Amino acid sequence: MMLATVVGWLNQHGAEFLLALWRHVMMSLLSLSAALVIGLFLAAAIVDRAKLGFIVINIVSGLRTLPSLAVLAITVPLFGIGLTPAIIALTILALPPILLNAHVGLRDADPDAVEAAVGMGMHRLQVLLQIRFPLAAPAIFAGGQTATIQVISGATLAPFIGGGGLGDYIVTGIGILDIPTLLIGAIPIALLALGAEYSLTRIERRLFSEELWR
Amino acid sequence: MIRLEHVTKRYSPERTSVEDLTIDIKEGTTAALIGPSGCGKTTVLRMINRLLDPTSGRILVDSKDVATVDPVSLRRHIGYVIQNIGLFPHLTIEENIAAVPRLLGWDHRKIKQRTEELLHLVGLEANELLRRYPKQLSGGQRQRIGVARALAADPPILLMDEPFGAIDPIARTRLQDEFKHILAKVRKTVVLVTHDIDEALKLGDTLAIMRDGRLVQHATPKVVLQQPSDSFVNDFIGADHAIRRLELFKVSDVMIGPSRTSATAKIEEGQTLHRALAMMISLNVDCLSVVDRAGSIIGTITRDTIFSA
Amino acid sequence: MLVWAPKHVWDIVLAIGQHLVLSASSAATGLLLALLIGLASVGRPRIYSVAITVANLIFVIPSLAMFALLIPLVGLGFTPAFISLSAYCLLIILRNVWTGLRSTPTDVLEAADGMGYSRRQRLIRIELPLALPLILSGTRLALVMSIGIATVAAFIGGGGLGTIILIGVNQEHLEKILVGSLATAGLAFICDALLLWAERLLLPWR
Repeated sequence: MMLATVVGWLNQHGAEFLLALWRHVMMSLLSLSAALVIGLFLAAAIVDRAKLGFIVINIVSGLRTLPSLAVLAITVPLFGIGLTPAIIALTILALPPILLNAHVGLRDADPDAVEAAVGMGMHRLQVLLQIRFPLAAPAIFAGGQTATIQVISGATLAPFIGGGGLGDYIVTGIGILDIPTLLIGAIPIALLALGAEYSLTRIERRLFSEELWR
Repeated sequence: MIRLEHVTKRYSPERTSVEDLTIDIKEGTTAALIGPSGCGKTTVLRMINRLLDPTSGRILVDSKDVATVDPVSLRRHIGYVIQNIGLFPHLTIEENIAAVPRLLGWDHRKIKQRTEELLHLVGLEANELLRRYPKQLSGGQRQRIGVARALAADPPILLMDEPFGAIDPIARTRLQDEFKHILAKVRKTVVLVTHDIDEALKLGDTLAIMRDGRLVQHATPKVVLQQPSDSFVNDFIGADHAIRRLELFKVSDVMIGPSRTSATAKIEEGQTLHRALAMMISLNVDCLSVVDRAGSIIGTITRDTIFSA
Repeated sequence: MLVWAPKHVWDIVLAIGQHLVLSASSAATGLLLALLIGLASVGRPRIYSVAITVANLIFVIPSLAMFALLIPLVGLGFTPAFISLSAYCLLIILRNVWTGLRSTPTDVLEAADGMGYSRRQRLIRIELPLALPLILSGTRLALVMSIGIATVAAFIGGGGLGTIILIGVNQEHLEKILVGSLATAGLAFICDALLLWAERLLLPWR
């Protein structure tokens, strides 16, 4: 019975649904990529600069205490509503886990290896690229995993600042008190999140399980 | 008091930890269980309080087979000190010492009295230590609390596994001496596992030497040093055992009457023959006068008396 | 700048109250469940694996979606938010209970066994108290996290500070957005500090 309703609905609203799904995924991917670029760059920049690092880390840790809703809300007065502000907000949400993990990973990269590299005569940039980053890869990946979940979660809330995405169905479903609509939004989001987490865990195991790093 | 009869502990056909061990430990004596790493001495210790059970053979404590006694209740009546002590970090020193009495349901006034008494017994005077936590104490202090805790319920038996192993050598000697004094005050049957021959010689009334799970010799220090039962024991106690033996005798044990030509060099009556010989060598003399605390001459000791001890 | 807030102090206080009730009760429930499951799974690790896997799955699902999935079952308002938040807290605290119980130093365990503690006594009097630092810090983390996520409860009629933020966005009212957001962050900060202080009080031996 339910299945018939769903199939019927999909025929009518299939395109709309796919658009929402696409927006949700795209928002997530764009903000994640932006956060990776910014986060890794910043982490690299503060590796040997304690004072700058202190400021950056504290700002980012502070950002982490703001609830996702607040981050999304605050972009409205600054950037208005719509897709772009949503992506900006999601990037801000994804930044802390990536930056903080990258920072710790780079900073604590096997000090003996770093010292050997410096002693060999490598430039700071070479040490960074050839030694620190590879050793920090597990930590950075873990940060990326957390960020992904944060972003998919944040994207769920995007509708309320006009960003679209699957969360729209949930909000509408609550507004008109219609459970099927609610579930059209909730179930795919849940599946998306679970799927992302599962794939990332598998990839992590594949990439990092050989104890090359110890 | 403690008797092991044909005790064997086998983990697998290839791994036998203890092989057919029979030993008798008399009440009120300290048996030092000694041997190289892996000889099975710690296994033997842990079978006495049933932290491990033997594969065959039986263990009698106070003539009762320990296999017939509830292990938890058995352990509450045996004191147990291990190398790192294992003080409970979340309890005050007082609560640590009071642990077993509390498990036994002692009256709390009796417990308070006992903890203070024990603190003094182990040479710690300040009562305010009772309210501190283990992390605030030094290694030596923690060691003493470990002993106090083991003695709290006044058990007739004390099992110790390398109790002074984690202490620096200087503090260790001092703790060993103090422990010897403590043991003199309380009458306990003690089994002490150690890999340090000097510690065994100092603290043990008897030495039980083990190798590859078997008991090689069980005798008093003097006998072991004089008549090692085989070449292994001989090597184990060290090539200089004849000289070490001299530490077991005091000058007052072997001195002869004051000689007419009184020797100029003096040695106190409580010193060991080892010290006496060292003095003779460094001063290049053949005899020494033995004096008492007040300084009056009470005897003589010569190279010959030392050599024939 | 602060025009609206001073005139609506009671509304703000009410929102804070609702928010706190939701977050704190979820954290408390999470703690209780974590302790029960943690203690029950000593010697029965399967109980832990099952519980942690389920909690992990729930945790991954975005909060709004999770609330929404529960609405057909329990309706709108406080309940779906409470159930979801409790599950999130359970995950965080249970992990810490498990790790805490298994981190007792071996010499302490051996001393306890040798002295004559039964398994049960050892668990309750030695292992659990020594696991307390991890359990308390997990609870603190869970509470702070709940305060953040509880803002989403506003979407489903659960009240709290999220309501002020939502209205602020709808009305494009900057002050409301800021008040709601900063109050939430402030609440989280205060709870974190309070629990940290409580931790220090309860753990004089660290």
